Amino acid sequence: MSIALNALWKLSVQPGLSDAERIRAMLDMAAKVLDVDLVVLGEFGRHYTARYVSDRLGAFPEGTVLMVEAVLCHGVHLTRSPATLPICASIRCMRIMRW
Amino acid sequence: MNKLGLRTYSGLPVSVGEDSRWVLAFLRQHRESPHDAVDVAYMGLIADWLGNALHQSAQKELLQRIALTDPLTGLPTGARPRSDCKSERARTPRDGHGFALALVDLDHFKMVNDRYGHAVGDEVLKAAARRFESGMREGDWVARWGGEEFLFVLHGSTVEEAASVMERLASQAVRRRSRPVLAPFP
Repeated sequence: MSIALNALWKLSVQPGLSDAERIRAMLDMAAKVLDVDLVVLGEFGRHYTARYVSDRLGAFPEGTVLMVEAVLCHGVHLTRSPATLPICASIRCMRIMRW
Repeated sequence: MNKLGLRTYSGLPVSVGEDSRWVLAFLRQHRESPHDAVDVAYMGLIADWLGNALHQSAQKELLQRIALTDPLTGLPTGARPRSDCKSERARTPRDGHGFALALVDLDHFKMVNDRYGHAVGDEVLKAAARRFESGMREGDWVARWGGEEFLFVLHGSTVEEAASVMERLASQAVRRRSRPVLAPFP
């Protein structure tokens, strides 16, 4: 993990990157370190918008707009608390498991 | 998410100054067990860093907007009209429509300042800017070039058409000049 933290620091001070490029690079690095397939930094408003995305699957593009209630992150947004959970097979189950 | 075959979700709130609209999500396909404590701590670090980065970026944009907007008239000023003109010029070959530039100076403005004071002069500039803006066609724009000079960008206009738009704006200003200008008494 210390290597990952070192890389995080290096990236945060690396010159020549725009703000957006640095954020995308940060998401890519986090995806690699945590071995996850999709990292999404999304913004809630009237809708949910995926502003920055690191996607190994190539299936969830930046700028995707979804209904607020349909997004897994909705609960985190409402409670302002972190959540970790398995994603179940049905939407109904996802809702129960969320909170 | 199920369509993508994702099995595990971790989400963290991201605070961007006072703004609480952001959430960071990590999803993966291959393991159903949740992330361990070290992973979760790392996610928290990333969420904090992203919150700071977004906040700094928003502050930078705000400062830039303030610096490139004339506080008196609310029109673009300084380096912004110059860079916007460059963008317009770069776009011209792509969209196939040219644009006309017009630099307009308010007649006798120095006399207004000298006779009635700078507070009245400022109100005249504000009123002129409002009238110019309200008389513009959609997509065209006006900037405060400096002092009492205003720069107009008119899309798809020939020189003659631009001159006609300017004449119309000038005649509107003349028609309305009988209205009193309100200014704070010194």
